[in-house]
Amino acid sequence: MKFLGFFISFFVTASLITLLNRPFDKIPPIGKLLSPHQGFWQNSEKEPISLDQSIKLIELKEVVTVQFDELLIPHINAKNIEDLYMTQGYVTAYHRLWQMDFYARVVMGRLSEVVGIKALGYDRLQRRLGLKDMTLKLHDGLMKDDYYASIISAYTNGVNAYIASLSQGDYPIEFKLLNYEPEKWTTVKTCMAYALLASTLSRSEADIEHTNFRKMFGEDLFNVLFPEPDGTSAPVIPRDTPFGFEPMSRPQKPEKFEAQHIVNESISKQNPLNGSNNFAIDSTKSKSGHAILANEPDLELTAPSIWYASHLTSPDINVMGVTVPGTPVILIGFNDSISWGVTNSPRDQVDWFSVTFKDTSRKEYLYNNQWFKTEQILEEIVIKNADNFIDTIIRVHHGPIVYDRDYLSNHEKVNLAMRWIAHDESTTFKALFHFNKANNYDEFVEGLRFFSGPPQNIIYSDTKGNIALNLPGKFPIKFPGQGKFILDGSDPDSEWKKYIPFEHRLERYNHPQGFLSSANQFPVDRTTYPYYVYSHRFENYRNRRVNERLITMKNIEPEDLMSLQNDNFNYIASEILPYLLSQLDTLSLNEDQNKFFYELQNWDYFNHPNLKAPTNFELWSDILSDQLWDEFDTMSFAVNKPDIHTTSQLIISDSLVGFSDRLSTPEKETTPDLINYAFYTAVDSLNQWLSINGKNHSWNEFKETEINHLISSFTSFNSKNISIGGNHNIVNAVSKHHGPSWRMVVEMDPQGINAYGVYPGSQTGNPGNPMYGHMITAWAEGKYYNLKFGQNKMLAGDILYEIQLTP
Amino acid sequence: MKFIIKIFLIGILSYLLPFYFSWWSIAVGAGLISLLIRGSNFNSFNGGVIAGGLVWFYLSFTIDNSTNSILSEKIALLMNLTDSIWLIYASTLIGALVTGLGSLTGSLLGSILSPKKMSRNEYVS
Repeated sequence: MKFLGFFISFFVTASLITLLNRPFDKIPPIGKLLSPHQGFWQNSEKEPISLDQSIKLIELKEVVTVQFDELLIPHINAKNIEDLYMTQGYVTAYHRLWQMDFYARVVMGRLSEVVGIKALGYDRLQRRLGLKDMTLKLHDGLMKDDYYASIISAYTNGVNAYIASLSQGDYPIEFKLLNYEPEKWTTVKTCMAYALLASTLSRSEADIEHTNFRKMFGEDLFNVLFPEPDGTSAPVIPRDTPFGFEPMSRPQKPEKFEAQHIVNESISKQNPLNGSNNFAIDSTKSKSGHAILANEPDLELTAPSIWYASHLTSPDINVMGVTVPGTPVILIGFNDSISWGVTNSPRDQVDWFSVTFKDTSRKEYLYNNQWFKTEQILEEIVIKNADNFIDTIIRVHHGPIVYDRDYLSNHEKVNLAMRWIAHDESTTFKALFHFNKANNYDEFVEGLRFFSGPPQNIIYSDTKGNIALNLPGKFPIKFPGQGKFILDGSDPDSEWKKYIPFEHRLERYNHPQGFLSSANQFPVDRTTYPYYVYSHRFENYRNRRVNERLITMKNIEPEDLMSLQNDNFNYIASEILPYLLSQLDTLSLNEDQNKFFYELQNWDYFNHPNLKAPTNFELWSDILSDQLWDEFDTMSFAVNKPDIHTTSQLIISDSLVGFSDRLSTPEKETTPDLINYAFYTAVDSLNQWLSINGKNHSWNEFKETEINHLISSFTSFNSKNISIGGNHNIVNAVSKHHGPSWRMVVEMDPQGINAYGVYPGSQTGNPGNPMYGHMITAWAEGKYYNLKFGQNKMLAGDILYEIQLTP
Repeated sequence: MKFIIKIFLIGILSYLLPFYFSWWSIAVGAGLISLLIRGSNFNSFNGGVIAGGLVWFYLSFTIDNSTNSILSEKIALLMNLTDSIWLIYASTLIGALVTGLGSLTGSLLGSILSPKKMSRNEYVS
């Protein structure tokens, strides 16, 4: 009897513990999660910083001090390079360990391991794209060089020292909610940012969509709907820039090749809303006589933020700026002599080659009329709560075959190999280290030599008042049109052979107009640059706005450039709205329609948050575009719609070549018919929105900008309904989920830099920290913080917290 | 008196052990105390419930209070709870039940190992 009692009690206790200690589908172990010692309670922080003031880090050589300022930005002061980067690794992990782990999983295609089967498609794509191989290649190249190897190892050791200092209760909250533990950081992971950024920035292409469209509708219509810009409208490199070099010869265009089969679905691409602005003014434009540089990369708005700010100081380096957590180099920033910033330069970096296999074993493929051996790679993907998945990836000399019988192949008909410049060994890391330490333009250009991509418009300014814009990187010399459509993988003449020499790059050093700028537009006047430049999509509005503003602005102060970064002028509306309004049949409007009309008619085209007209315009133009290109929705194969600029030009010139017809009606609509129809529908749509939401339709309420956590189900870690103006194609490029991820303005005063910055998030990634997301309000209001550097350097009163790390 | 001491000792172990071992070490600690300090099964269970519940309540409540529910509100929302106070209740309940059952199991094990002591203890308590 006694035994029975004991066993029952033991069994009940053990069962309860087991139940509370195991996960159920998406629910983490509830006993562990609610434990005050180890659960989420331990992530609730009373103070912004909870580090010990004295930390033992045995691998250090000497003592390192870290002062956190009021923004929680660490100012690291080390006596040698290794100590500096080890400490950077340590403090970055302190603020962003889970995010670092997440990014490493994104790059390595290992998300399914922690979030389960829903990420399998994503992991497969990442591995097929070769992000892991790129990272390994970059890593192995860097580790051959003692200097870079020591930096990468030191950073890695710093991260691992932080991980080793953690007990279960200290793990970031996301680990607890997803029920896994941080694993050891590695030198390979320290190199992950390149593949992450290359995939975000240089993978934009439409070869498959274009091939499909041309095959179905012919080349003439293709050229009308997808024209190539000529680069005469405010290009990145001013049009009067001479290119005095003797160009290398262009390859011969082979006979026209048409891919045999249409692809129904193409891989997901980078978001077209990713974009950026940068501009710099020289001493002639500036009130103080010092150059001023401004930059803001517009990316998906996430929590934690993609950027982490830090200030790194050692005897031979003094640099401040932002980087991707997990990366020991400043990507956008300034030192005491120079500053630099980047915007993405759309450039076709990916071409697809159609490959013919000898037989179904896929062991040989056709090239130059001979059979060559393929390489087969088995990628094993571990999936939480499911069996492992093994993906077979075939490689040919062009690159990995992404589309094949196992992946989006249209019933096994298509084999497409991906040739992506980012697959070649990258040395961009070295370029950035050079930027971090450069004292002048010559040293900066030495760094540019190493910049292999993703292609960026890199803006520069220095304390001597100079400014410059460069587009360094690896670009194949192409025949016109090469890579616009799928290429013949068996034809050697379709391949890339030579690359544009560094000396022939697009470069502008100073300019009589007193400024330089870039905003993802077409880089150069086609008639002046001898090499073929192509991408399927370019910005056409922000660049013109920035240029027009900078031409008129004089005696510029840093505040003026901040205002320009926050400029809400809707260039699209200014071009198309007068035409749309003129086409409206205003005599027959009802009351609601009249109100809608007057709100637009009295609008000055600024997308300010409190105005209603931007909402009206957005509704009307979106519906117009949907109805205009409704023909595209009926196509079962992968195809792109014409971009906003082409659409707008075609409407204004009334040359819609029959697309104005709405398929859902028997009538044949004209352009004015379509404009009127879209107007009525927009008013109805607004009325519906008003009745559902019960608030006024001011732009901020309608746009509902939000910053979401990287794990979409962690909804309470998001920031919702942020009141901010702007939109895509506006300098203040804030749409619902995208926008300026870091705004920086730097005045290059030789007596001491004046730097300002803000980003929509916080240094801490912990939702349980009192400063979580604390900069979002200032960011939305267009305010900036003084960055503690140069003239604003840290004073005793600015130090929020100080730690000392000792060997 | 013994009951109070028992609660006190279980409470101390429930507070300390999870800093070094898994969260459910509270059950082991309580079991150990009830094995060493004998008492009725009923009292052992109650002692565990009170000690474990109090410690988990105290810890979660003070953390929540000193941090203005900064994180518990967000976690409550993720769990579709209307108020973060429910998380304190839930933590308290788990701490109480697991400690109570651990304590009861220890007590029952004790009566197997030394049945004589059992009767004496029953008398004393």
